[in-house]
Amino acid sequence: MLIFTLRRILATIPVMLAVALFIFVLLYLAPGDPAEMIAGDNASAAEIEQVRELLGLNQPFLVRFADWTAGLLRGDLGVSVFSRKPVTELILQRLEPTFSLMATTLIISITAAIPMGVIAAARAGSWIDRAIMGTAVLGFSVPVFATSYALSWIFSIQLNWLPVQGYQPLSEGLWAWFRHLIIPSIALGSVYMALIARITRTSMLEVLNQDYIRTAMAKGQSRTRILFEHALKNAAVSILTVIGLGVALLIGGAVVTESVFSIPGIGRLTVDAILQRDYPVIQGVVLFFSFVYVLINLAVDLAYRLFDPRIRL
Amino acid sequence: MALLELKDLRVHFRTPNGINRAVDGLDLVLDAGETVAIVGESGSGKSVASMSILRLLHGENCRSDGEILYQGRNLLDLDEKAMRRIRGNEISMIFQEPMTALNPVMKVGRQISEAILLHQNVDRDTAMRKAQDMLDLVGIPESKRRLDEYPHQLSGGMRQRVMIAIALACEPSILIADEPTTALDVTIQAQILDLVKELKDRLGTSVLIVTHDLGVVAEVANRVVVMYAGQKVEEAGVGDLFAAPLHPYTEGLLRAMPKLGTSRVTPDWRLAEIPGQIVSTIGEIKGCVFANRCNRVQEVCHEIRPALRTFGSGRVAACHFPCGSKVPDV
Repeated sequence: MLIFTLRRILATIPVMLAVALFIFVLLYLAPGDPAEMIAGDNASAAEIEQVRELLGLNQPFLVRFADWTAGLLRGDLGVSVFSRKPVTELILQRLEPTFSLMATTLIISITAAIPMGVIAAARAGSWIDRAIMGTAVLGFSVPVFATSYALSWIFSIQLNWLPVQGYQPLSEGLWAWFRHLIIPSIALGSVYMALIARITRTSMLEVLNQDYIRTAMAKGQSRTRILFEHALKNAAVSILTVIGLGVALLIGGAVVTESVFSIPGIGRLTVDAILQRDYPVIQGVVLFFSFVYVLINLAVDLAYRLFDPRIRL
Repeated sequence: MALLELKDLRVHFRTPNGINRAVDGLDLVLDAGETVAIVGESGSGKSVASMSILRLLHGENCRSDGEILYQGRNLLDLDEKAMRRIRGNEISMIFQEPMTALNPVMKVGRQISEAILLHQNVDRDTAMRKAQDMLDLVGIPESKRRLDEYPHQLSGGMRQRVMIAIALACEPSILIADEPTTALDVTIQAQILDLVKELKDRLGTSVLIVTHDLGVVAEVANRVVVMYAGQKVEEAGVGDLFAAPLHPYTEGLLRAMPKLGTSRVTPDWRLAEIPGQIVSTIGEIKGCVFANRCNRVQEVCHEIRPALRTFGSGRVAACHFPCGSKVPDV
C-alpha cells in the first residue's frame, strides 16, 4: 500500500511538469506584449524595453521556462503585473471561499446524487426512475449561470430565504458561512450531481444483475440493505471515477459561479486576471487548479482500494 | 404432511414473443430427510422451478401460480417480510456459479455471519465464531484466517464450500442446490457432493438438487423427477429409474451417459444422443412436449398430450407408449 501510494505520487510529477510546460507555452504564444501593457499606454519604446529587461522577457524561451519552473519549486509563482503582489499570496488569500464552495458543492452533490441513482436503479423503468433521470438531464443541460439566476430569483428575491450574493468567511460563524453557499453550491453542483446520479444508476443496474445479489436475497437480506450494502460498494469504483473526473466541471463552474454570486475566490481572481491580461496570475491560477485536480484524482486512485480489494497495488 | 410440496406450479414469463411457460404445472413432493433430484437439459425449467420456491425470480414479467406448500403454508401467499424469514433460515439455496455467487468486495466471514445475524438473535462476535465453525464444518482449513479473506483469494471449490457454509449456517430444513457442481472440476465435484451428503446426514437437512448430470443423481438422490419443456415427464426412485426408465426421454438421457469400459473396440463406443433441440416453451405446445424428438413417436403423440400415469409404487410417467410397452410400428 505504501509503495503503491509513493509510486502514484511520483507518477504525478511528470504530469505536473507537462501541465506547467503546456501553460507556459500557451501564454508564451498568446498575442499581446505584456511589457507594453505593463509600461502603460504612454510609454516610450525605451521604457517598454526597460520593463522587458526587468521582467526577463528578453531572455530565450528555455531560460525563461527554467527560471519559472525553478520559482515554482520554491512556491514562487511570480508577481502580479498589476497589484505587484506575489501570485502565491493572491491565491492563498482567496483560497478559503473557493475551497468552501467546492467542499459544500461536493458534499451536497454526492449525498444527493448517490441515493438518487440507487433509487432510480432499484425502481428502474418506474415513474420514480423517470422523474429522477428527468431531473438529472435537466440539471445536466441547464448552464450554471442560468441555474444560478433561477435559484437566486426564487429563494433570495421572491422567498427572501437566503442571501442574494456575497460570502461570509467561516470565522463569522458556521451558519452565516453556509447560508451564503447554499444556492451557489446547488447551482454549481447541478451538472455534477446529474453526472454522478446517472453513473450511479448505470453501475447499480449492472451490479443488481450479478449472481451475488441473488445470493444475498437467498440469505433473507432486505432489499434496502442489499442495495446499500451489497450493491453500492460494488458500484463504488465507477462512481468514484466520475466523482474524480467531474471535479474538472466544478473548477470550470466555480469561475462562473463566483462571478455570479460575487464570491471573492480564485475563480474571480481568474476572471479578473484574464480581463487584465495579468499573465503571471493566469499561469499561477491555472497551475494551481491543475494541481488540485491531479491531487483529487490521486486521492480517488488511492480510494479505489478501500472499495474493491481486488484492485492490485 | 410433506415438508415441501409443489402443486401445479406454473412459472410464466411475459416476453415480446408471447408467454414463456418455463414451468407448466409441476407437482413435486420433498419429504423430511429425503434427497430429490430434478433432472433435465438446459431449458427444461428445472432452475426456474428451484428458484421460484424461494421466490427469487422477480420483475413484472414473471408470474408464479399454483401452490408451494412449506410445512403446509403456501409460500406464494406470504408477504415479503415473512418470506425473508424463510430464506436462508428454513430453506437455503446454493447456486451453479461459485465464482460469481459471492460478493467480491465483502469478506468471507461477513458473508457467512450476515446470514446468522439475520435469523438468529446473537451478537456479532458470536455470529463470527459460528461462521468460523461453519468453515470448519465444510472442510476449509485455517478457517480463522479465511474469515478475513475475500472471495477472489479462494479457489472455485473453496467458494462453493463457502456457499454451502452460508446456506447451512442457520440449519435450514431444506437445501436447494441448483447445479452445485456444474462449474467445478471433476475431482472437486466429487468432494462437494460428498460434503453435501455428509452434511445432509449430520444436520438432517432435506435436499432438492437440480442437475443435468445423471452421475450426480446416482450419487446423491433418493428420488428423481425428470423435467422436459417445463413439465414433469417421469418420476421414480433412483434405482428404478436407472434400471428401467419409462419415458423415452429418460431412456435417451441414460443412453447419452458415457460408460466405463467402453472404448473404440467395443461395438457401441459412440455415445448416443437425443437428436434435435428442446421445444420452445413460448406459446402453446400441442400434444406431447417430447414428440418431435422421440424415437417411439406415434401420430397420437402429436395430437394429445399424455397425462402422468402411475406405474407401480411411486413411479409416474407422461407417455402414451412408455419404454417396455409395445409400439405399433416400431
